[in-house]
Amino acid sequence: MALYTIELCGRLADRAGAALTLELDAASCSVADLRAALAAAHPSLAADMANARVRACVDEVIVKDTFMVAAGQAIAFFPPVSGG
Amino acid sequence: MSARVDVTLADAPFDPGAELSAFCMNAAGDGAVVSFVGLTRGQTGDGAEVATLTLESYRGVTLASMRAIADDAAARFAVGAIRVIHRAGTMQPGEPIVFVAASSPHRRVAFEAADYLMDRLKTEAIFWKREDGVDGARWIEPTDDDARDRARWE
Repeated sequence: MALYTIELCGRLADRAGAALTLELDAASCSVADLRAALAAAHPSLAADMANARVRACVDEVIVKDTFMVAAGQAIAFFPPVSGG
Repeated sequence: MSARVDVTLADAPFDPGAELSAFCMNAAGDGAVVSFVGLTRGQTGDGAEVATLTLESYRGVTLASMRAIADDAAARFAVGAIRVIHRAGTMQPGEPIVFVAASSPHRRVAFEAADYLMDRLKTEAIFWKREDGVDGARWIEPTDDDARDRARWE
């Protein structure tokens, strides 16, 4: 088993907390796999995990759903941003 | 010639007047300076009172996103200098959130660079904005108008 720590930014933190952990069999998986696992473990996040406007960030770089992420990396999900 | 680009993520209040004065002092050679200041609104779009506005940021990604936008502006417009300051944290109504300034030999270029900087900061800088009022909290996302403003530069 491998432990993934995931930070939730902005309004996503209102649904499931600012940080959570997921235990998965594989030591690495795609961002798409991670979205599916998060949605299954936290149904309150399901709609956001299926939303392409919610982006994944791994080790401070915004990545695509095909990106392979390893347990232990700094993973975060970003809802649509709003500055200014 | 490459423009001078200075970007700050501020976690405490700043003085936009002092920033503009400092920017003008360093804009020697350019004849035009255009600046914009964004202030925290006291009311939401539907008129409810806002007690505080909180801007959440994320590690190094927020500053990197601001720097990428400023660098793009410097590459796109014939500017001599660009300054961007963006607040993070909790603000009271009336407090400055954002300051941009651009200098150029020609005023229209400076106006366009400042306009471009704001349109991209509104829609692409990595911040999440929450209004806390008497009737609860509300997350603000870019509006269709913001997206249209951003699309003008495509």
